[in-house]
Amino acid sequence: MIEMALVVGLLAITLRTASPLLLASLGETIAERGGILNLGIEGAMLIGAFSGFLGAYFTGSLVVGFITAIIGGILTVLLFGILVIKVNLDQVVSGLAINLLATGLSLYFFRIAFSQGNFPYLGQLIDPMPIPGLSGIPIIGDILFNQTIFVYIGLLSVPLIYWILFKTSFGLRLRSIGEDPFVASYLGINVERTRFISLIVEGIFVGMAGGLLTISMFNTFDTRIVAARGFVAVSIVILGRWNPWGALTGSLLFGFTQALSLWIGTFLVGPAAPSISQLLSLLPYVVTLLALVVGGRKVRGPASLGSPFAKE
Amino acid sequence: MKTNLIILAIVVVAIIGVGAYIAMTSTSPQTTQFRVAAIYVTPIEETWNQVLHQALLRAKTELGISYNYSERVSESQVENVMRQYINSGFNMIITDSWGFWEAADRLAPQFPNVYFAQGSGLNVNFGKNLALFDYYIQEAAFEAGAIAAKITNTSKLGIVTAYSGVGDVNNLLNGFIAGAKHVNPNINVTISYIQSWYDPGAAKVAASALIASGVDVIYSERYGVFEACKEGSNVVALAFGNIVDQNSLAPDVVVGSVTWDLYPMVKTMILGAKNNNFTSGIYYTTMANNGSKFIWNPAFQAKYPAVYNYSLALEAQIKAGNITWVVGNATVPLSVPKFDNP
Repeated sequence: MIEMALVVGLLAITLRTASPLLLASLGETIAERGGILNLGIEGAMLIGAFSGFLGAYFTGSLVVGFITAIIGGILTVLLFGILVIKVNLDQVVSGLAINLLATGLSLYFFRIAFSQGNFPYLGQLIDPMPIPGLSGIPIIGDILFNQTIFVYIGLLSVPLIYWILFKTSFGLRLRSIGEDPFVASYLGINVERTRFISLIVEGIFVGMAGGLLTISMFNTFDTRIVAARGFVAVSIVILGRWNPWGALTGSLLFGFTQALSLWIGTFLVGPAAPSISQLLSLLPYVVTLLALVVGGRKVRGPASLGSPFAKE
Repeated sequence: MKTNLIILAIVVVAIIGVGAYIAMTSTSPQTTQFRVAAIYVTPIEETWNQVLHQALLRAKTELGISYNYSERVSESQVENVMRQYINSGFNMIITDSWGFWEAADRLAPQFPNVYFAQGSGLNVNFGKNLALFDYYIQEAAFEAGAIAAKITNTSKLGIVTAYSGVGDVNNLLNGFIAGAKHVNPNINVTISYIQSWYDPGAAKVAASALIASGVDVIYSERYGVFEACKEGSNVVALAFGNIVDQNSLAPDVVVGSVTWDLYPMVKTMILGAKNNNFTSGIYYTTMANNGSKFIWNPAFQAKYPAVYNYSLALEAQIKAGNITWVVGNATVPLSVPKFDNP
């Protein structure tokens, strides 16, 4: 008999596990809608995690850490933007270069900031903030309304970004650039500016996604902290068909299977448990592939995704 | 074509220039000094690396050796890096990653005047100059398990670890479980695998799951558990740190740490090599030789005086070889590691 508290705990943890994926995939959805494939998201998350940790560590304020994480995210994505929009470099190559650069830079500055052998950590973390009134509702209160600020921001951003993308003229301009930047430019849309705005928004989300790893989930920094969550976010965007609601669905799927693979040990005992746990952690990737195979023929991403745009 | 050649010429000149600069400015070391090089697969901030790095820094000041290291060396590069150190006259090469063991096994017989120490592996060519070591700290893990069994209120303990089926990690888990059962044969120990060597986010989730299922003391074999043991300022579970002293990371959660100290081993190796009586073969880090230690968090030591005294008595028993377990078909002292799945 599985206790109710375990199930509630599992679902609450699902949201918490999904939150970095949701924030990152929302940011990436916006960028890709404008035709920019940012594989440098893994590196931008790492810089977000690092700058968030530095800010919180040296000021003792988690709010400052939250802000510096966002700034770190924006600066990294903007650097990527300059490479692919201004210099017109290949998006895939630039993204991978940003990832390598982020690992090297963060370790370099980590060593400048902290003497070796000294293990810096934060004394406090951004903890769940129960919403008065709502958090008291049985079951749902524990799952939805006793979460960290990052979960709330992620969930509220889904309809907001949907509205921006599909109900505002900015969204229309961005999507038309994503389909064909040459036609959009011909129609008088400022492709560069619109794309830069979309990347700044992506930077905000990706910076938060990285920052939450070092100022909410864990209390120190390591260059491995992102653990491929950025790449997972890119596949969530595809799984979610470049739609914020799809990104939410994909993030929940990844979050749930990851949480379940970690919880399975408490339900399941015996020699098979480790293998089942490993199998579960594979599941979202299998689902992503299946979704692409089954639905992929009908769905296509923004037509200009990944291709450079240089005005004649 | 012309541009390419010009760029090529610039790069070649730059390489030669830098090489010449290094050759002219690098000072040749004093020939009397014993020279040790360590090669790490990851940055030295990583805990395993820290243990060896700190030991060698201490050896530098206390034994007067010279110490150089290379980090982030991949398996494909390690042999070249080792040969570079050997060619420039280093006396001892310590390769500190499982993936390096074949290179150490291959090079040791070729360079009989150089000493090799390999951190974990399947080495067989020990000859007269190759040593093998690993974090054989199951004795300290056993002590942690016994302490956990003494302080739990629910008789449910948890372990958060990386992957199943890794022998040297299994050894620690076996130690912890055996220690817990030593105190209470009916105690329940649940192991949670996070399928990653480093993912504190996943470890935190795994620890939360254990806590939700009634576990109140967790052995944090990986990073990330301590953060799950506190909800706001409420301590909901206690934990044990691993490999290095992690007591200060979460002073109100971490009861103590299962630690590894490589200085005694490094000292034995270096002095042995200097005096021409180096012992090859496997080096066990044990409680008796101070390589394996349980370090109490002073706050918890004061909170549980009876358990603390019990742990001291237990340490004495372990050091005397009185605590045994079954490895394969043989009953052996706890200082012999046990690699099978827990």
